[in-house]
Amino acid sequence: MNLLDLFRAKFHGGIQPPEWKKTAGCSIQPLPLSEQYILPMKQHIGQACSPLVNVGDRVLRGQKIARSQAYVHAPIHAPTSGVVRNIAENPIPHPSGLGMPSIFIEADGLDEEDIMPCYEDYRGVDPAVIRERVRIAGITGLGGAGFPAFIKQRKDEDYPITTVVLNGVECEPWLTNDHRLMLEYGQPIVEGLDILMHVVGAKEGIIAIENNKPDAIQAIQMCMDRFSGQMKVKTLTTRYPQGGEKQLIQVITGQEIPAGKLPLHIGVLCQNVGTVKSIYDAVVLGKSLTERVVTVSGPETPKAGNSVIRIGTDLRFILAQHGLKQLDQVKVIHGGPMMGEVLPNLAVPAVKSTIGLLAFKQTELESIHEQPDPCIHCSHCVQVCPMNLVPNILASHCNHDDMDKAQAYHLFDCIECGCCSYVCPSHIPLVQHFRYAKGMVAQQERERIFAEESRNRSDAHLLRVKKEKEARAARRAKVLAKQKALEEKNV
Amino acid sequence: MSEVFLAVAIVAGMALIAAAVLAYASKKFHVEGDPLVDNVNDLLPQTQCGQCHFPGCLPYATAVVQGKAEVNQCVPGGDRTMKKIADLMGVEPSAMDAEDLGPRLAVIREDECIGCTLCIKACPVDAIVGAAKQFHTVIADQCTGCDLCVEPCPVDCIDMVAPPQKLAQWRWRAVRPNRTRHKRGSPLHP
Repeated sequence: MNLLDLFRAKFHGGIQPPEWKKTAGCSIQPLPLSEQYILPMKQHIGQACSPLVNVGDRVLRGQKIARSQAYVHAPIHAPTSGVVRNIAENPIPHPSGLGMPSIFIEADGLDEEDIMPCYEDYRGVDPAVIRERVRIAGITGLGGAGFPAFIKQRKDEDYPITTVVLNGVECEPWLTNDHRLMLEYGQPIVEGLDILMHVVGAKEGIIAIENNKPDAIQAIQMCMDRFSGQMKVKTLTTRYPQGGEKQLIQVITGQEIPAGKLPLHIGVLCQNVGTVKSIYDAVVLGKSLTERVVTVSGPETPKAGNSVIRIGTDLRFILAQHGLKQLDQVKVIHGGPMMGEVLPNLAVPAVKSTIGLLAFKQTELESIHEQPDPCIHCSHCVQVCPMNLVPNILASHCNHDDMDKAQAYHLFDCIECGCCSYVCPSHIPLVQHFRYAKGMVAQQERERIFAEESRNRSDAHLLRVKKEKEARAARRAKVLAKQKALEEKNV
Repeated sequence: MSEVFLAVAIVAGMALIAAAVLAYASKKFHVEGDPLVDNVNDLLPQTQCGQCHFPGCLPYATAVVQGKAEVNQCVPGGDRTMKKIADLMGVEPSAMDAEDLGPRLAVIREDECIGCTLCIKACPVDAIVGAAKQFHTVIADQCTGCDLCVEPCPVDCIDMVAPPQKLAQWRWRAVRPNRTRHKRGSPLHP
């Protein structure tokens, strides 16, 4: 270790899992067109979209087929030309196996494309126009979280952005899609960084790459000649979860993002390299987000590699193209092995946040899980937690359903990176406890709101019944009075 | 002697001023209703279902505060609500006397509905829409699953079902550690 490393800014904790990046040498291959594409109406953080097309409509590649009126959303585009065959509920790649409304497109094989006007000289275009382009191109963070990209590109007077950080860290084992992108699409990534710097008015651009990808560092540096002085590559020592936004920014700038704040608040914009390539495609080539790079790997995949897939491709089709056709004894992880989720069902489409598909033997995956033993308070989890939490105590509160105490121990600052579960000598599934507790807190909040609404409805109901009763009594009194008057008159 | 009278007069005067301030404060800061009842009512799930044998959540909360009801009678609230009420009232938690069936949703078989409006009148949260001699239907998002509409229906066309699972409401299940002790003879206890 270099003596300088000791003084280098770094984040707390972290682990160094085995890398397994055996697809690092496989160049990105396009996948042949599939017959059908299924587009779920929500592939981002925010509001779900509603369809803009009807069954029977012909659509072109890149045509917007769904949008929402909400601010936080990303529109969805047709991945190829074809006909809308159905709009129905369909499962999505999610651990629940549940579904959501989706648009089914039958490909016609022509792959005709609808291209937006291109801004080749983007430096001369108003930043607001480019930001709007990023929005309508449906670009979300392609690193896995799926946050709409345009929202971060804000030119705010209170919080001016000085540095744009590109995340080429790819710290998850097995995954190599960002690595290959940097090797093969260095120019678009570097120009995409320039676009981002232009949009937010930043003076400095940094591409962060871990030192286990020396070829990518070299490739990006070669593409950067034109922008020397404004941009640089920052080489980082390999460590998981360095690719987490907060961790990466802490390593690069030496500043920690306070809890509940955003990178924006310390003047940083952070995007994944894949996202930036899509931004380049949208601005310079006029293409909407209809494809992405996915690592298909794992011990059960015969032809592991990196593929460009169209959004909406059936996962079984993607796996079959990589030689994996027998799926009964196989479990597939959607995402990386640390933060990804095992899919209960493979008859689902790839979405914008599909970064990797890792196929394992079911028995192999199950044998990893050992029966948890009691916590011995060794504090290994405390030492590795990149968010400076106390996972053992936090887990004990979650386990006893003491959600108030769990929140006092900053449950919602947990990024679910899995370091604590990884190092636990008692095999306690700590992250699972935190996921459960987060869901439980959300459910209790929903129940509280529903109870409040029900109470208002009940109060309104009782008030209405009371008013009706009074009105009836008043009418009755009136009629009686009239009768009495009549009788008196007659007498 | 006069000093004694002076002292008594001063103390009496202070008491009078304090009494006036207190009388004013009790008028000025008067709280309508019993705040404890409201606090208990806030803990209840507001299904207005009557499974506690009281005609709604507020009457049950009142009865609990008055000591006329046990803390374990709110069936949809379950164990969690019972513990919270017991905590608030300062009594020992006791086991629930009836088990919660989980969330329920009323569904009207519309082709069998005769449009009698009886269920609409029975619904405590106005979650059923319809008019006389028109089909009625339940607003699923507002139904508390209280069961009160089932009884009055003359043609028995209302079913109580488990609500469909929604993605937005899905959550991870708990993993509870196995708390069995290590048996003698195991590596830890040779």
